[in-house]
Amino acid sequence: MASSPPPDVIIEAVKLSKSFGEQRALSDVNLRVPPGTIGLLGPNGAGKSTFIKCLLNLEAPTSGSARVLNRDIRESHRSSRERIGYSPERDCHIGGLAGCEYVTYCGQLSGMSFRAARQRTHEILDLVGMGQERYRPVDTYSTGMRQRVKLAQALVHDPALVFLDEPTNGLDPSGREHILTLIGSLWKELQISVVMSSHLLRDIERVCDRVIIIAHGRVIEHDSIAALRTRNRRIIELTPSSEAPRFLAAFTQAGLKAEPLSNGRLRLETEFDSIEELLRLMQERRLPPAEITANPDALHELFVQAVAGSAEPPPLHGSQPRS
Amino acid sequence: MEASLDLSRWRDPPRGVAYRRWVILSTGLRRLLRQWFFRALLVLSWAGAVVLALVGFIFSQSVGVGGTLDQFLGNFGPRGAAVAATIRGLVLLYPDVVVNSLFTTIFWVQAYLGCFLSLVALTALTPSLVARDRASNALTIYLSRPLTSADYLIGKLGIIAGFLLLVWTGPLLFTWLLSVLFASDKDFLVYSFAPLLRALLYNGIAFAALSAIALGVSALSRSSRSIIVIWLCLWLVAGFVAKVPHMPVWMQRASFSRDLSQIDSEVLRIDRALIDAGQELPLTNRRLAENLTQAGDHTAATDFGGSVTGLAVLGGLSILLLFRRLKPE
Amino acid sequence: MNAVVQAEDVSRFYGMVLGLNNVSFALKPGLTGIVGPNGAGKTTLFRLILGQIRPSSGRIRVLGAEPWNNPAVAKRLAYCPEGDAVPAGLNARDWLTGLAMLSGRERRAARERAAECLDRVKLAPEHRSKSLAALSKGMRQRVKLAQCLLHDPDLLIFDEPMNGLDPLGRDDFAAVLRDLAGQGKTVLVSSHIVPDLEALCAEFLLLRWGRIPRSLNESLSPEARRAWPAATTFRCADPRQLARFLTDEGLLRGWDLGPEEDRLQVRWAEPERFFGDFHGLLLRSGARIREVRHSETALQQVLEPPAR
Repeated sequence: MASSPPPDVIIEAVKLSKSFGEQRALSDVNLRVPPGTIGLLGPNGAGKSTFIKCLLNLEAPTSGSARVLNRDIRESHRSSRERIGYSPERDCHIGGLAGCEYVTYCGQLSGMSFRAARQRTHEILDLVGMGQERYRPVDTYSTGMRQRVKLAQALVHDPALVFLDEPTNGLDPSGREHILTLIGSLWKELQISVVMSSHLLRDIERVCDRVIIIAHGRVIEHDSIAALRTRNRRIIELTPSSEAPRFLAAFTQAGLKAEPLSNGRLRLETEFDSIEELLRLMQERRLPPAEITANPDALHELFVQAVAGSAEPPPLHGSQPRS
Repeated sequence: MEASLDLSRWRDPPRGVAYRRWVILSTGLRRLLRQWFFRALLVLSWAGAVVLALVGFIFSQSVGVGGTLDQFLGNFGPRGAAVAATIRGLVLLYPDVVVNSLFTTIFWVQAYLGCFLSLVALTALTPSLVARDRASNALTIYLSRPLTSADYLIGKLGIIAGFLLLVWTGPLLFTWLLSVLFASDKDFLVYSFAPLLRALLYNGIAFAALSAIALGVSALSRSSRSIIVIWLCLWLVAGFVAKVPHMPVWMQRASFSRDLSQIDSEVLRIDRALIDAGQELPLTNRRLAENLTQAGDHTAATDFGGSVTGLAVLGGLSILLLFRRLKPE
Repeated sequence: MNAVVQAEDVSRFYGMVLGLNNVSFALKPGLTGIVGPNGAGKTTLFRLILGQIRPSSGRIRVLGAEPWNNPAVAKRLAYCPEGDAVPAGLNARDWLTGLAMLSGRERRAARERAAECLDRVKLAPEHRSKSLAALSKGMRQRVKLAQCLLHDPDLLIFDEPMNGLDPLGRDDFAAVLRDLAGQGKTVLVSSHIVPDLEALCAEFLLLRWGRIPRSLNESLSPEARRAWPAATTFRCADPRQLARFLTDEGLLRGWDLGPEEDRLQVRWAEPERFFGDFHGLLLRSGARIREVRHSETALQQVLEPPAR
């Protein structure tokens, strides 16, 4: 397969459904997902993991069809997974092998020759930040190391699409930073599409350019992050450099709805697009400078609204992407 | 930020399913052979093969005119020379019986050794087949690659096959080859071929049954220790129970080691070999002839059909269990 | 105000293995975030505070007394550890009732208290009679939180409390924690997820290799965070115009246009002059500014990994 341009649609699902006995985990999911970095969100038990597993044939869909990277998951059973990588949430590994042996083995299982796999293994292990531990058995690894090796086995065969389920689980802050930066650059620099499922909305906002929200087995939102930002009411978060109480007093007096937070910040609701009015007010009252952030929790708000709204049986949106 | 994404790309066409199954097989086998235990088993089985091969070789070499047996027994004076002449005569007159019986006996011993060592190997091997993978959720990793559960099983089956080939079939063929190579008389080749085929048949049946049962047992639990205990129960304890007199027949058939020995006797026809030797050969020593006949009757298979059924049932149950447990989670 | 936890030159070693090395700190009521890489000594710190182990040297006082072997102190403490071990065979209601009874309540009161706590953590009634092992990870976290609330402690320690919770669950959990802080309790939260901590806590304690690096922790104190930052990120309608304006005023050492088209990152040459006339300058620039913030939060800066 020569280096071809990325396909228009990396995931396509038509009325995909999955039931476990009487419980419907997925109901009639229709999606067309363009390439890029996509965040997959949803409350626990909503069907996110089931969706990914159906696409990977780890669960057999009850009805409906899906195509991944333009290959039907049922017809092209094996080959639909040739250029896909998966890093599951749970601890999964093949026991008894050293880290680099394990990743090389995984590369070979995807059809790489031993030499190609070995070479890529060491490159990828460098990339995820693993040092000499690679020569020790995976069974002796700490949680953080296991997470890294899981990511490595998902990337070793140069996939066109990776599914990452809670990729920063178990990593300390600098590890999280490293991996998030890595994930963010997969699409931009290597044209590897990423579907990242996480509960950490800040991470998704930072890394993804598009979001899918699944609740109660249905897709209730599918849009780009930029578009989502504009849909919410404007919330401003202020971090005063000093004299926080005066800020609160000033804003309340001016008739703005200001709410103090437990971390010392203030939250305001406003209709204006820019902060000129606020700056004027602060200047008038001779308030000290402050950090001003707009819509810091845009995705969070959207999530809460969407899930609350989806409690009614018929879904409101048909799940076609808006942009 | 480091120039970290300076990666090589992999754009070759991925290799096919056969290669991937081979990878599972070869990686597993290589891991196996790194352990001293399995290497020790190999050494034992090949040592046994060498010994048996020597027996066959000496026999085939020596029983010709002017052969070493002649010379050797000639040292014992005219009586010895007469014995040598008798043996040579027997071989010339009754090649089928003598060669056949001898090689049947050799292969029977070899099969016994091979089977035993295979069972010991499987005791240590079974946990690492499926149980360990289930304990570490490895199936999710396997199945997220372009593989199906069938490929996974074929690979694992291949590991068992590979090892059994090394520990049983290989020595078997080596024994035969060395015995008949440079043989003075093509009779040796011809009349040893049938026992060889039968030994190979038995080998094949044992492989099919044992690999199915081993895979099934391996899927029973996630703990290596439990698996070993279960396997040892099925092998030794059931085997012991089956030998206790007046056991109900179905209980005897439930022991795969007993079933295998029954099939062994029937397929290799050791009983016929001994009986023929006792009855057809013009042996002067009546006692020897009677002993041979009795030994033949003793080793006759009494319950061949039942044993085959028993093995089939055990194998079938194992396969069913395996497919039920082989889910990625 | 009297510190709730006071530690002076506390060290704890396990043979040769380092736990904590000569640390001193004072914790006040409210929410405090505890950050540090793995192996930094957080678990040792918690166990010392809870009185499960004694320091190899130094003194530690919790709620005015030594925590070791001190039931009076112990019953005012609560610990919500990271692990997931739950007793098999019990359901949530019975488990909590049993624990409440162990704290001295009699059965009827214990049952009520258990129900109250389960309400507070928002565990739906239909899950309360299910076996604990059958609950999802998020629900088990809620039960753990309820366990900690049962005996109305004054000091609570949480280790990675929001692991496995979806965003709604995190909200609920954070609300409970804020509530507790509002009631005057002392809450210590340890997490690897910096944004969570920043959203919750105003005070932080940074651990690294068993020490509390003084310089780093000082830069986390509220006073230090008032110092002017070296780099600021703006989001506005026309970043180039803003950049030009600020350069003309002679304030910048350098600037970059960010990944998004409305983002501008600047490095200050004269931060005091800018922040001295913060509002005036920004209004005069004429750029329709939407956001002004430090390029990195103090916590992020401090956690930047040293060159490997």
